[in-house]
Amino acid sequence: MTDSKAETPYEDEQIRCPKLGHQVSFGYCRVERQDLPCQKAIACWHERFDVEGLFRLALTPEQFEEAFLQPPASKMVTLVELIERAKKLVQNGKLD
Amino acid sequence: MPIKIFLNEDEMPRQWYNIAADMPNPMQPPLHPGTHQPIGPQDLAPVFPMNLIEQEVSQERWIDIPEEVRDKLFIWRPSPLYRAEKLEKFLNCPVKIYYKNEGQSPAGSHKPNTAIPQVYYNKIFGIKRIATETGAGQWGSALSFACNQFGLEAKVYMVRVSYEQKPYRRLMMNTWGATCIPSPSTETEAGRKILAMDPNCPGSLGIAISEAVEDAVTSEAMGRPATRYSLGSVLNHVMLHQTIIGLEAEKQFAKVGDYPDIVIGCAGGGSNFAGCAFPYVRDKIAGKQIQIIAVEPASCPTMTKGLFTYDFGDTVQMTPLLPMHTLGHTFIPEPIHAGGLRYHGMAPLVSQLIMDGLIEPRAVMQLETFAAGVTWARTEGFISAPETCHALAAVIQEAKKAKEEGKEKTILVNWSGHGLVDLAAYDAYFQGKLSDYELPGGVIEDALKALEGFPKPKL
Repeated sequence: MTDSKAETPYEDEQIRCPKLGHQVSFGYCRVERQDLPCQKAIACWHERFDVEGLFRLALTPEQFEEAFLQPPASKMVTLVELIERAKKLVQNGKLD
Repeated sequence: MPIKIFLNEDEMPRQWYNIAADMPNPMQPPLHPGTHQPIGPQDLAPVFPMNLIEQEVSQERWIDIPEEVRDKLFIWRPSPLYRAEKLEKFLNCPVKIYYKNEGQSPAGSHKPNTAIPQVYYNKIFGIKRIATETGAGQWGSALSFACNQFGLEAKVYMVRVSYEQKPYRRLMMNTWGATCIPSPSTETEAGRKILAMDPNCPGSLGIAISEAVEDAVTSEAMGRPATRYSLGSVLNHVMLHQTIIGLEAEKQFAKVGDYPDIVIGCAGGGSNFAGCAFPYVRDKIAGKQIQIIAVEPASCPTMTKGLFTYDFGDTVQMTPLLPMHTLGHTFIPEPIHAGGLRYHGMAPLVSQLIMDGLIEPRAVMQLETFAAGVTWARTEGFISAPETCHALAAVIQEAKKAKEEGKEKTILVNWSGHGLVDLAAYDAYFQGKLSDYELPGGVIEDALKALEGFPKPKL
């Protein structure tokens, strides 16, 4: 497997998402960041099945590193850069 | 002995307590992630009104609660201090257990304690509209309620999968007049980009935050009413607003001639814990003998096993660098069913007070927390939020310890919210789907290696 969007036998398995605060399916966790799984997917699912092994097969080493070895998401917003990014939209006239 | 200890409205505190004025070691400034230089008010001005930024950096010990804010807080405040006598009888330990009931607010948690003043300060700054993000809707509903009270427009970007699965808090937001839309949306550049790639994208908190910040920053250029962004945890001014919990508790204890030996709260971002505990930390700084316990999940040991250092507060190293307890960017917390306790960084104020030895962090196991929540429901009656159950587990631990030691103790716990919109976690517990997992030491060491080379705060 090299496609993170390839379906797995666990797509409909449910778990409570600690970020969102309600039940989600593994199918959501697998693509939470579009082409990448949620950073917490291994932590959340590792007791249910070999999720790390699944992602090592599904992702390239670079994707795996990007998915799980980068800073974890939190509710503390990436304010400064998001502000700068939004300012550039205004400066560049890219608003619809 | 009354079960509930009330304050009259005219007895509600007239000032918030700012612990920054009494810190044995003053807080160090947050650093810009790019320059590693202290960030200034202007860096945050596009998303927060300057009066809130001033509170964020204030060193004044007491900050007046405006009458307009008091008037809104009266809807549910002062909150009662309960004596948990039925739990006491069940435990049969030499303890008196009191709890502040913060679950009786309109939104069902402590969150409106800061939503109300945040919206007020936005209003008097001339802001007409506030944007925010939400998952299941705890913060979104609290902010919607507050905006409704002050006549501001609220725009809530709710993660699409939550929007579709969790209608109740969305309906709470609608009932309070907020506009709640699924994220990603077509209303922002960030949302449109995502939808162009995947029209069926279920969304994420990261996307929703991007949309809310963009909404605020671009509002003027887009011809929308003056808009700012609002955050419900971690920041200093949020802790400040929450101190009304502990300040009320002090007055209520005085009414019955009692005083706690132990103060307990669950700590994720730190706001409900800080709100109850900081007034007692002040007493401890002044020499009072009191134990103050911040409780976290054993599987996500930010406070009990983490390192105090500068760390980015977010996933992509964009939030201003704040000195805080952290396990580093690469730390992946283990599974636990308490969303509010999963931040990898603690509020800087709480972190510093732990370093100063004024707050004792404690980790509890997942099964123990739900067992405590069930015991609480079957004695005191209230069904607790999963996060709150962590604090209840520590209460039971302390009660049993008092019995073993043959000492009488008085315990205060902050009951930070009800769990009535969050019963799926209890269902999982009853069905035996939860398990205990304590983070192995090696994992922590690996995570901390990621922080090597970062500037360390002065201690």
